[in-house]
Amino acid sequence: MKEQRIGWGQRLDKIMTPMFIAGVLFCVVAFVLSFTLAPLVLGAQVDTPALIGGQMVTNKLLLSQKIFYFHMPVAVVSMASLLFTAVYGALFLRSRKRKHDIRAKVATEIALVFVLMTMVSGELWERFEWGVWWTWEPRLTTYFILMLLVIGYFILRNAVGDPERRATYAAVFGIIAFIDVPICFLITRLVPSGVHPVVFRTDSGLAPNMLVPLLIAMLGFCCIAFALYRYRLRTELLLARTEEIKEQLELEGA
Amino acid sequence: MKTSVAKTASNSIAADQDAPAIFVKKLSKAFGARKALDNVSFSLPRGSFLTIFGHNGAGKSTLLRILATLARSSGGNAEVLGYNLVQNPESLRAHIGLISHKSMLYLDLTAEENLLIAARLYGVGAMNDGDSSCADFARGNNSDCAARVNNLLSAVGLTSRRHDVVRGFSRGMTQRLAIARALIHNPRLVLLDEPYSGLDPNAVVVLDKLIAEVRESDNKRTFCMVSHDLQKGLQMATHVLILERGRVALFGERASLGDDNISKCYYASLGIQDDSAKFKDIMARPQDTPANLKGDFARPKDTSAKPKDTSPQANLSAMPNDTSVQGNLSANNDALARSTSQQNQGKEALR
Amino acid sequence: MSGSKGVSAFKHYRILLAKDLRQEFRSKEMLSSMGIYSILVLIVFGATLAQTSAKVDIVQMSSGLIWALLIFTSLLGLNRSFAHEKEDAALEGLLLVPMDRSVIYLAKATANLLFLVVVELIVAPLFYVFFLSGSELSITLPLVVWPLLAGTAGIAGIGTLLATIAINTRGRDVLLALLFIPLAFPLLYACVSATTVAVVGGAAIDFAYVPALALAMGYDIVMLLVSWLLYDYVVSA
Repeated sequence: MKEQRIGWGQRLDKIMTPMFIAGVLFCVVAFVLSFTLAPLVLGAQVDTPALIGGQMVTNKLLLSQKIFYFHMPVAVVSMASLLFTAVYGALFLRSRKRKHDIRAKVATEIALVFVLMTMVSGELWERFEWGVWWTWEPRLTTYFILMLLVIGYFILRNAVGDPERRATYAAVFGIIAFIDVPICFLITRLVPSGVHPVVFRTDSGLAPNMLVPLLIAMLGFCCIAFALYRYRLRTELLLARTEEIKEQLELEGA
Repeated sequence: MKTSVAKTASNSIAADQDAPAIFVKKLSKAFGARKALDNVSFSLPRGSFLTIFGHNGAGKSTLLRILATLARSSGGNAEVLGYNLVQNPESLRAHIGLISHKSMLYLDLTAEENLLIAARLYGVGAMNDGDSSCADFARGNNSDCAARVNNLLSAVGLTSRRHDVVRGFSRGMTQRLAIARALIHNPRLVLLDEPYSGLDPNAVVVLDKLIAEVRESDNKRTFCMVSHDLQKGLQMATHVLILERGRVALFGERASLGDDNISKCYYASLGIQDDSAKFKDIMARPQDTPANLKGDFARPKDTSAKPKDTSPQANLSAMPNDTSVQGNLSANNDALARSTSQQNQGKEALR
Repeated sequence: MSGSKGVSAFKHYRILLAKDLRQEFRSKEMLSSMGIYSILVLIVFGATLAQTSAKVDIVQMSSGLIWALLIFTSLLGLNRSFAHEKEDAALEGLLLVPMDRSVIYLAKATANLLFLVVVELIVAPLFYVFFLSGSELSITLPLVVWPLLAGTAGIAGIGTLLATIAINTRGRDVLLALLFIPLAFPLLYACVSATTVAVVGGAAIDFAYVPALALAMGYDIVMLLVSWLLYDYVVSA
């Protein structure tokens, strides 16, 4: 059973480097496409004109919209990672296996990286599109809260001494914190704010020539996130293994 | 559900009378690399008194906490009083009592309130579910619950302090009340987690006496004590378990093992040379009097490894001389006098 | 799920709740600290608003202020709510009792809710006297009761779970705030919005009050349910 798990892991470890490279390539392609394929004029394509194009249409404003092709996929990946945190947290609570705790922790680490990227890109966007550094807009606020929750997750882990208790608390907190994710995701549907458009919907919100670079970027970031996750997980599992061997040696030496 | 305590107790006794008090097979507790318990197996008959010795971090407390259902094992099988620890912890909880160095009492409530809360939570004397509201601690004198509390209070010699807030109690009094709280539901397995730590010599004597009384009150009651102290631990033990790095270094009946072997293994588990001459010296001394408690316990001078051991010694060396200890005991310790004068009533309560 | 000796979960709940109330009645620790702290916050509000009062629309701001006060005051109380349980390992004693452990959560959350309500009953009139007595309030003012109640229940519900986590951590006071405020944020947002609408009145009452209140209650229900389900793991850890 254990051997099987390692076998699986080895297979995944083999593909993680190609995956990382593929992810980067996808992102580069998406980056190029976002400038070549996606049109500059936005107001007409996005069917809530008030949000971006409704304000004055200048050259600068249009170029900074390219951030969107980076910002939105990164945000989606961060939320997906948090889903893994919650799922592995639940698995840990059921099984009490340390491997689930390690996976939950690594998933949250990836989530933190992507949350920070989202926040930074969002900040740039805000500055250039809206001319302010901060606004208390619902999705922005809930996402900011999400960032605080992810940071809180790690502070909580550091504040608990006993490893099993730490894992339990982290799992519980990861599950509760995840409740904020759907709120954050749905908030633009619940509270129309005019700043964040609803991108995924049945009546095609985005024109295909904008959707294509977006989806390629999303695929790219998913690959990168997964590869990073495997890299980190391998390190963590090796660390745990080392610890085990050390303990074993100490026991036999005595 | 109008089942009385006695009724339920007798029913379940019939069901698992033959099962050993503690049956542990290949029990292990690990999280990640650290193994707190590793393949521990033993079986303890009913009515025995097991003392668990071991170095700090040998897994003594972990084992006790697992037996008390406060921690979960990560492997192996354990049955306590015939109940499976993993599958049926809730039924088991009704039959175990834990006395630890922490009192588990609410310090802002009175002695009586503490016992009443515990009694009601355990459903002691839960004959009248309808009107025995928990809000009226004072009312309901006629109920079994109040009678049980009264008996226990007198058994531990705290009747006169029943309406006093626990915060004002001495360490010894608190510990006595903690014992009463742990025994409120008449548990069939009593777990003791270093009950002597932090007690002054008087309180140690009183505690000894109390435990002896509880033991006499029911010869089927099983005890399991974790101890740092060889003398105190062996005083009442019928069985001995020595843990070393989470593994069983020695288990068996004290009589068949022989005190020499026990001491050898005990010192080996501490990583210290056998000191059996001194050990014999300890065991040869008469016990149960505060006077001989004062003697320097022949203990390895490994104070850094076992800091907890030093506290009773420090307490003892602070005493000016033997007579003052004894004087102290007879003059000031009303509790001891009380517990002897009310022995009959007390014994009944402990039953 | 009930105890093995026929003590119902509800009876366990009553015993534990009565125990908490009695303890508080005896020591008055939480109520006095929360009460005095909230009055101090009012004084701070007085000082910080003293220079702006001519310009600022205090009625529009008042519900935000009162929620700021409630969040910080509740943090103080929640931090203390497990002090007695931890002091001499009394919580461990409860874990030894054959009962459903989520009852411990419900009883503690109820006790915290009651203490917070008492504090609110003290603070709300004072707040009115200090800041609102000169202003004209909407006739819909009584409607503030519902968002206040929904918010307080949510605070007690989320807070009790997090306080149980925080008692076993290093630097528990800060940690509780750090975990609690982000988690309570959506609730706070909804409650402030509903309370403001009720205080200010006008046309907004028709379309904004109910959705905000519904959001608050929805969040309460989800959070309480999840906390209740997960509490066994937390308290047993």
